[in-house]
Amino acid sequence: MVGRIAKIVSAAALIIVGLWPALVWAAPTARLEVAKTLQVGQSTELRLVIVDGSTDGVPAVPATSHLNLTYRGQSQSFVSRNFSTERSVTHLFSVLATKEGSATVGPVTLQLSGGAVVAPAVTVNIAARTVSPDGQGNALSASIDGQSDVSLWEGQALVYTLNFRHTEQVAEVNWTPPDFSGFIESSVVSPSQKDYTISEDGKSVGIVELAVPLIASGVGLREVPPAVFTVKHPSARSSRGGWPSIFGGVAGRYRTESVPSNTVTVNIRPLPSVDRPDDFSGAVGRFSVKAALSEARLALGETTTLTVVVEGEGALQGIQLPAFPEDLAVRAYDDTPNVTSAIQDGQYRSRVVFKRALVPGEEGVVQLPAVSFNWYDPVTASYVERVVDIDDVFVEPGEASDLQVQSFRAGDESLGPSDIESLGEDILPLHTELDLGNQTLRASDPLPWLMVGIPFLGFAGLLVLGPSTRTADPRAERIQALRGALREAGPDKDVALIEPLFREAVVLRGNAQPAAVDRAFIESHLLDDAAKEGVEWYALLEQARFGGGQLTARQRVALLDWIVNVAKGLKA
Amino acid sequence: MTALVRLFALWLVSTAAFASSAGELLYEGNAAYRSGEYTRAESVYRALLDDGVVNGHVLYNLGNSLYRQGRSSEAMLAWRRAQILMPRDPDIQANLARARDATRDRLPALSNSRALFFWQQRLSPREGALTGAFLVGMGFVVLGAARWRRKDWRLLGASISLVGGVVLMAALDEASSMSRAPSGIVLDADVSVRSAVSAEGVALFQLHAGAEVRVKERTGEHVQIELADGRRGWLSADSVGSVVPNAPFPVL
Repeated sequence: MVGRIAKIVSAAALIIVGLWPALVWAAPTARLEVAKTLQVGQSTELRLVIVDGSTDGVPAVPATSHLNLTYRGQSQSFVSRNFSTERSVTHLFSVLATKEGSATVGPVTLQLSGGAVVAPAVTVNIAARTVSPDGQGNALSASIDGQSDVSLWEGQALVYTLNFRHTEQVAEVNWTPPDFSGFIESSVVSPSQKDYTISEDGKSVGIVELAVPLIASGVGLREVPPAVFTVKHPSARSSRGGWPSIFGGVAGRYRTESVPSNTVTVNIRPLPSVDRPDDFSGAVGRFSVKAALSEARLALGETTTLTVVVEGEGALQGIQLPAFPEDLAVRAYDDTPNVTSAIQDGQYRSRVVFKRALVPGEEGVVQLPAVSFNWYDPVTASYVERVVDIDDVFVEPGEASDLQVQSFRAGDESLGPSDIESLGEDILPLHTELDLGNQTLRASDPLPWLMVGIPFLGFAGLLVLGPSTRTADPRAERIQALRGALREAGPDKDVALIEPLFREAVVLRGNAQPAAVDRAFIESHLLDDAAKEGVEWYALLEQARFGGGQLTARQRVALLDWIVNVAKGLKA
Repeated sequence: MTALVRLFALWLVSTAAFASSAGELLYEGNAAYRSGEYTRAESVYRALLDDGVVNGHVLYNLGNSLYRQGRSSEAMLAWRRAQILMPRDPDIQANLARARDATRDRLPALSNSRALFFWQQRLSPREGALTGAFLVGMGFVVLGAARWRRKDWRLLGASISLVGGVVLMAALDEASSMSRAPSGIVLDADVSVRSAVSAEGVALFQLHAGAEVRVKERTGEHVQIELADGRRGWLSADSVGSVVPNAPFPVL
């Protein structure tokens, strides 16, 4: 009995051991997880979960046009189950519902190491947008020239307009541009935005209008997919202030809404080859041309400027001012054309200004050729050539003719038509100047040495010979000496030291010797008050000198001030 | 002093005689150019350069004759050299701009050398040196006048001399740096810029005729070049023509 039980247990153990790999081994699987119902404009997550397997790169998830998918990244997790560990890799996508109807995501076929695995398709029902509480809703419409189905010509400039009308308050609007394949985004005009408010049935409706300049390039029937506005509305809680967020903001303050636009269908037609000019510029639009000369009458050698303006609806890149014929006796120098474009009144408008400086090479009446431009007119569906006449130029004799002759030393050559080259099409003509010195900086060039050396030698000579040649001015030296002595003098000095200063100051008024100072000299050489005061000081000093008197300290100060004032008026 | 005056007079006479023969040659080259003999015009202009007439007008005309022969990279080299000697000449700038537009690499233009002061973009090194020398000389004149008559002119004279010295030194520095790290023009139609001084170096990027580069280093038959955007690499020295005006003009 015991032996039989042992046999049964052994057999069971063998079976379990034998089947264990089959029990714990699970084939890779994949599945799509997404909300089954959505509203137009609603975005949600789509998960592609791969169990016990992984792929290289981002798996391709097909979806019908009702949904826009954007890859967000991947994560993986491990779960222990039935004594085994299950590994799940999740690829995360965000999904935006753009159209009402039934949408299908998948199936997704994945090539894993264990073989191909298919994640079954998932159907999502997309309902119409529920209206906002005020019953109006927010809506985004896309159009070209106000239409959602238009026909254009290749090369035609257009303005793709997004018009977002909202009845709810909007704090911020961001947009996700659609794929503009088949169009070139203008490099000279940026998208422009306008915000304004209109009144409808007594209610205020906000409008955000975004205009995107484009140029049609890809021939064929094309569909511009929906653009999406991501709008932040202030939420109801904002009125109560909300809760402070750990990131510093106010949690729950805004509600975000994604609003998709409609698609726009465009049929881009190729430009007809019939009647196409050989020199077709490639411009498509409706333009006008104007041309004017700055001066119609000038002297030989002077310049007049031809200004040609082409402007109108459409893009003007590629249009060029035609070159003048080579046999025209006029030098032409073209400026870089100035091209400006802008969206005006919903239209793509361009303007190009050509400037060509003209230097006539001969006297008399110079007839300038007409200039012509061509483009394709999308309204009349025909090629247009516009020819603009330019006024004649009257060239009078001028100094330039003489200068040109002088520049050819051997003589009988003069400028001919072959010398006249235009910058627009060619390089500028030769130089015929005769200033042919070596223009490099080199040590053997005597000019810089001379320019420094000669003045330096002169200066050095002055330094050596200066004292003997310098004109002596004894009076100036005496004035300098007096001023120096006055700086050192003070009221504590003895009268015997102050008196010579007094005499020196007085005599320098008349350029005499100090011994010559007396009452008559003072009266005759100093003016009114100064003379009167001088006579008084002279008397006091004489008294001190011969009568044994002394000046008080205050008198000495006053006398020194007087001397200083007299000395200040001295000029060498 | 008399000897000095005689020497100066001799220099003037010899210069005038030399200018006369150079003028005849220039006329001959111009006549050849007008008659469409661009190769002969080129050889005449080259002869002028070989004779020491390193002159912006000659280089400009040489550039035109090379351009007419379809040798636009050599023409650009001649015009770049002419531009260093005559930086304000509008014809040179116009032709260079046109040639640059036609280059395949469309690299930004490089300045002649490091410029310490704003005026260096408008003056050639020789013009800068002459201006500086003139100012230094004027400074000495004013200093002399100050000693003679007005002592308060001493500061003015010293200031003029100082400014002149700065202008002069800047011009000398510019000429020196131009020789040490000159700009260059790629002359070959298509060259690989390599990471090392040999054909085994990794090809970093391609340059085409007319590309303007700065020569940073020269090792034997190779030069290390730098582009305006900072990219560096090595090229065969023969592929690059130096824009230093008094360097021999390359013959391809």
